[in-house]
Amino acid sequence: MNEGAVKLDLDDAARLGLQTTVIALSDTKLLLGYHYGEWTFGPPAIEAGIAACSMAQEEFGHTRLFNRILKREFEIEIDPLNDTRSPEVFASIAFLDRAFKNWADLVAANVVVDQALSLVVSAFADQGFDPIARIADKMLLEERFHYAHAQGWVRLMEEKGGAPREALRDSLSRAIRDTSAFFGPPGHDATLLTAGLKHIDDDALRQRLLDRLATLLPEPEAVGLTSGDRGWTLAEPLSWDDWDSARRRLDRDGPDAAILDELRGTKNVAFKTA
Amino acid sequence: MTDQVFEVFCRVAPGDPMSHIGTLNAPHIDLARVYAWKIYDEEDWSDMWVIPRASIVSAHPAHDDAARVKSP
Repeated sequence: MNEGAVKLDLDDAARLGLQTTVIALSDTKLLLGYHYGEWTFGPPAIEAGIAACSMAQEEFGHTRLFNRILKREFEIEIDPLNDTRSPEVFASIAFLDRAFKNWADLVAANVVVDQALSLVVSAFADQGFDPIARIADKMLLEERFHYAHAQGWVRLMEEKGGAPREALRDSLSRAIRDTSAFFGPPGHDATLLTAGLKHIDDDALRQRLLDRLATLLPEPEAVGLTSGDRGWTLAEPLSWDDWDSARRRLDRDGPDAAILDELRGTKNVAFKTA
Repeated sequence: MTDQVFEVFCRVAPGDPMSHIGTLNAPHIDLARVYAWKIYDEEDWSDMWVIPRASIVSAHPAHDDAARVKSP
């Protein structure tokens, strides 16, 4: 048994919870990296395209790290180039399912989705599940720049007002609902806390995300948030009846097949070297 | 908000002289910091600074004391 597998002497529920979390992190970072990469070209500034390209590389790198954990600890092999899973089994945040229609979508993914993933990773740092804890520090250091980029653009688009601000608020509203679903119904991850694999439950992480967004945004109500006893929440609460715990989402669809084809190099199978 | 020009300076090791490595455009200092790190990360810098070009004051005696470096 390797060092990282020591903590995997777990009951089935905890093991499954951990496995689905790592798959969700891997799948979502893969899609996020795809969208960042797509916006290497066509951003509102050359520097923003370079930053998007750099963030794409980092997300793909993180995906590879999570896939390595899946293989070593769970004997699950996800090779993005040879992945044959259908879109309907992807465990990625629904906001990333389709091509982004404008820069506002990218900024919303940057500030909401990217930050949510970092929060999930941070819950495993410092003596949590060893394989994630070991990679968390470097990953979260890289993510600090993703968040700084997101903050800078949110500030800019809010200050610009008019159409840019409206587009941003529309994108943020959708990203916030889809990402809130990713954190799941309260208590869904209780087994991971009981097993000492993470320190903070997903409900608290969601609260942290919404509170941070409300601090950043001059009018949180304009993106579907409302202030309550516990802090900021969705003005229209989610219904958890259709929540798929394996995919951590409510929406039964999945990523656009064309996006998966691009990630898998489907058009270039003849040129594959392995 | 219009873009400003920022100058980027780095050094490889603490104590090394500060070297000018490039410029970038950004609407404000927060994005300038991100862009600088993402664009000029080819070396393992120990330090990196971004400075608004408009804040650089000419020291040349032939120039006005308050002359700032002009954007191109």
